[in-house]
Amino acid sequence: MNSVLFKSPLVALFMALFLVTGCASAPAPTTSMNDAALQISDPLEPVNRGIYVFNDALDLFFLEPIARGYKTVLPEQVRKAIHNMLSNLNEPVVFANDLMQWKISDAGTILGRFVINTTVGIVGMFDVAEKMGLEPHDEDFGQTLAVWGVGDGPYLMLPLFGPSNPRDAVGKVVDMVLDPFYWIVRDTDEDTIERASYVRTGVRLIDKRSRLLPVTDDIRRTSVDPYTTVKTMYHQNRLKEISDGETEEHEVPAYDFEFDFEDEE
Amino acid sequence: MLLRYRIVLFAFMMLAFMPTSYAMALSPAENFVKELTDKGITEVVEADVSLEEKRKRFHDLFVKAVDLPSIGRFVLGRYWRKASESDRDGFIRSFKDLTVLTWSDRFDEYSGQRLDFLGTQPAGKKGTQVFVKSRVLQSEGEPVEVIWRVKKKDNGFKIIDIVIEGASMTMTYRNEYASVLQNNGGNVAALSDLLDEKTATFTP
Repeated sequence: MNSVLFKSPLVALFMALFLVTGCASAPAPTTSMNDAALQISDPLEPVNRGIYVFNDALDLFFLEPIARGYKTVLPEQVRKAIHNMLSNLNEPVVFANDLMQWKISDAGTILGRFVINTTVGIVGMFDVAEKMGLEPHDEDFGQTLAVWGVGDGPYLMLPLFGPSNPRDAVGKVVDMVLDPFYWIVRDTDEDTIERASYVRTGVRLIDKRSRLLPVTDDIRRTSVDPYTTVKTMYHQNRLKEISDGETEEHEVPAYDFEFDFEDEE
Repeated sequence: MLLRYRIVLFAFMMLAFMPTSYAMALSPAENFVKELTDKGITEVVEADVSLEEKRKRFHDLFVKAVDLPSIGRFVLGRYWRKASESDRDGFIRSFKDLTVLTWSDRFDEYSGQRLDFLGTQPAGKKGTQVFVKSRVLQSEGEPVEVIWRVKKKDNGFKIIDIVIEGASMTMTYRNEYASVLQNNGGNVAALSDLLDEKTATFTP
């Protein structure tokens, strides 16, 4: 069943977007920092805004209430165990991306984590490895592409998937096929395994959404333009994730813009 | 979807500080942030007082620790220059009121998280600003990276930005407000009214 997803138009769409826009990512704007600190390319803004409204409505009526219920019904310890299991299941993908970014020591950490947590941690429910000093980290193929020098391209608000860009959208698809469980499910005739993979996808979504509640609550309450708030946050957060473990001493992080530029001396 | 940046909430920030349990030599800038957050925890977040009193105490702490004029100037960008004195003051007041309420509303989510200091780094080019790096240890999931941008002022420091998981608070506001101002002809007073409308949705 999952194979249907992979052959679906969704993938074709991502690929098309990538080919059309991804490779042609605009060079960094040369306007002075003062006038245009952190410009985010968004040529599709009218379309993106439309999709944002659609996503937001869907979220408001379905996903957010489910996430809130999930948080209310399940005690923190249970949610934590679920989150740990999901992270554990994703670690083969992190491992592959570590290798592709030539982060050998990080790959080793992840391998150790996966082995220890899957066994001692009982299918990943308990993050025993972290207590042994093997701290978790995240990598995805969008980040790997960035490390390889691929630009992000224009901002994209994807239906259902949320904020993205051509590079990160392609990354999502590649991460899916980097996941060994994807191939296990694809080649199985066992209904149980197939069902388990749907459960995993669903729970992963709810887990992510529930952990974002504080952020989205505040955006809903305080932002006078949530679309722009989400876009700016997504962009900055991705820059940070990409530069994790990359930033050289002399490199200036994205958040180090000149602050006093207007009329102060 | 949005997962990786449970960023925003500066509120969420304020919930997250705790004295580090071990003694360590901290730089003056780090000490400033540490004392401020310690104070926020003991005298506001964990204090056994009404919500109203918490909001009041937090307001006073906030106004003292944060360089609101600098932030106002930065988040309004070029619109600041064109705004009248009273529009600037009005904006700063509206911005402050909304921020204080938002943060105050998050205090009851605090559950003893610890703030670890990870050193400092110069910020900007003028040599008067410093990034104080810290991380908040969560009960689940990866720690949240929080970077405080502070500016030397008079005999101490003032906060001018907070960067959570890479997202600068002032930059995020700047883009958000610029988007509104672009569409309303640069009317700062109208933007302040929008912020006041948001403020009014909080329970008194």
